[in-house]
Amino acid sequence: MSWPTLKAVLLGIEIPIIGRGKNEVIKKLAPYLHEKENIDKANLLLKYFYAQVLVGEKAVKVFKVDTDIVKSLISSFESIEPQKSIFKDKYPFPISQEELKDLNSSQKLVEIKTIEKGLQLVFCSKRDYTERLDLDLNIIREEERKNLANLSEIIGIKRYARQAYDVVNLREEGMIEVRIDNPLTMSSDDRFRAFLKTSDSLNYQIKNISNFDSILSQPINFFSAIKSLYNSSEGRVCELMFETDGASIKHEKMRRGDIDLRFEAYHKAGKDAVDHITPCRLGIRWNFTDSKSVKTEPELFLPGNIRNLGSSNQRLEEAIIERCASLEDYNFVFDKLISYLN
Amino acid sequence: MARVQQIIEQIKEDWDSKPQAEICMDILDYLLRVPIQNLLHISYGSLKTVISKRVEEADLLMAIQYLSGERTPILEVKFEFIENDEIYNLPNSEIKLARETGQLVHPETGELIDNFEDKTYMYFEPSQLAKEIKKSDA
Repeated sequence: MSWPTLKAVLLGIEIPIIGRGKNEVIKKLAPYLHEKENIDKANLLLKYFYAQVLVGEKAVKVFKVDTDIVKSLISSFESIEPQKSIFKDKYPFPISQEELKDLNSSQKLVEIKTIEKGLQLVFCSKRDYTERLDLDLNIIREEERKNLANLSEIIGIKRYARQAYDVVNLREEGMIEVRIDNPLTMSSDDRFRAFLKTSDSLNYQIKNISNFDSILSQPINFFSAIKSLYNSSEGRVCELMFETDGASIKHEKMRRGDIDLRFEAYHKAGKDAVDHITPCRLGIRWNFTDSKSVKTEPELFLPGNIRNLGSSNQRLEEAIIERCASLEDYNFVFDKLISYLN
Repeated sequence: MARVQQIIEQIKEDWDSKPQAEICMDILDYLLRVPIQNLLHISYGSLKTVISKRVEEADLLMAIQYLSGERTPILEVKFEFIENDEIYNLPNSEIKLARETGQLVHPETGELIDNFEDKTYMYFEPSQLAKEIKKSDA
């Protein structure tokens, strides 16, 4: 659970935040939650933890599939149980780093759960991540630095493994949603591989329980939602990339989460000075309060690029949904995305 | 208007013919003439742009320090944390604690980090006093 989300959840369900930083706060939570009068709050917090596994920081692709096929798959999946695995034994909690170390990267189905208007499958696996770190030049001895006269910075590459939770939702309305873990540091190449792997795992499961084969074809194209959300009065635009017919490319980011880029003076005046702008990337946030009074600012990020605009086939097959605390805010954003597709 | 006059007198009195006097006047003029919604985040670089003459870095720094000090408080100092092109606002209380303890709570991960100074940047907002003056002028 990200630090801002954890703070929002604790604040919303009225659990005191004691200490500085995530580790200290979590450590000091334990005695509070063990007190008899706080048992309801402890259970509620557990529910939010479980929700983070499903919706925390995610990237999503959606496939249109015939409703009869989806319904048939739902009933087939409802009749089976996930196979035993180390991930399933601990789910929804993660296995230890020690246990993770010895595993390969194959995905294991850990949960099959009937949800409102559909069915949810959760796959767990070990996933390797690569992170770029800026290092202090002083770690190189002065003598050696002299031989590297033009060196102005050193970059370190950190590789580490984490347990990934990837979700597949079979939606009765005729959609299959593939939702992968997307931590902040994940590269688009790593995302691509994770989507492929999760789609392969789903196809493998489907082959085992039905006569259907490779039902995931081309994902829904999200590109049209960039323009229609920008032109709408929804939420607050916090990031935008666009081109103008005066041959410029602009990438704007709003520093303050409470201000809408659409109404910022420079943006507004610039837009008024041209006939139109043509957006290709958009980040948008909403204010959301869930049924337990937890206040969040869920964000939808549509990571298109300028190349999309030059192409006659403008495609964007993934969306990033982040800063969610529960299925309530996640579904709110997901429904917005679908409703703004042309 | 009286309060603006008072600030101007104070600047003249404190800096006399030194370059800081003109720098302070340029910054004051900027804060008063630009609408408040366009003064939400003023970087050091932006203040440098506002100054009409070419000035020494040390003089500018001294003037900014003066305008955010107790005697003529028209600028409020704020901080932000920038990492991998992501920008997070830091409450002043957090930066104060970080400097006392040597560790900052990373605004996204919640982890305590030691090497925060390289990623922490200062910016400015009009102070409460500047906001009140603007409001009464409007």
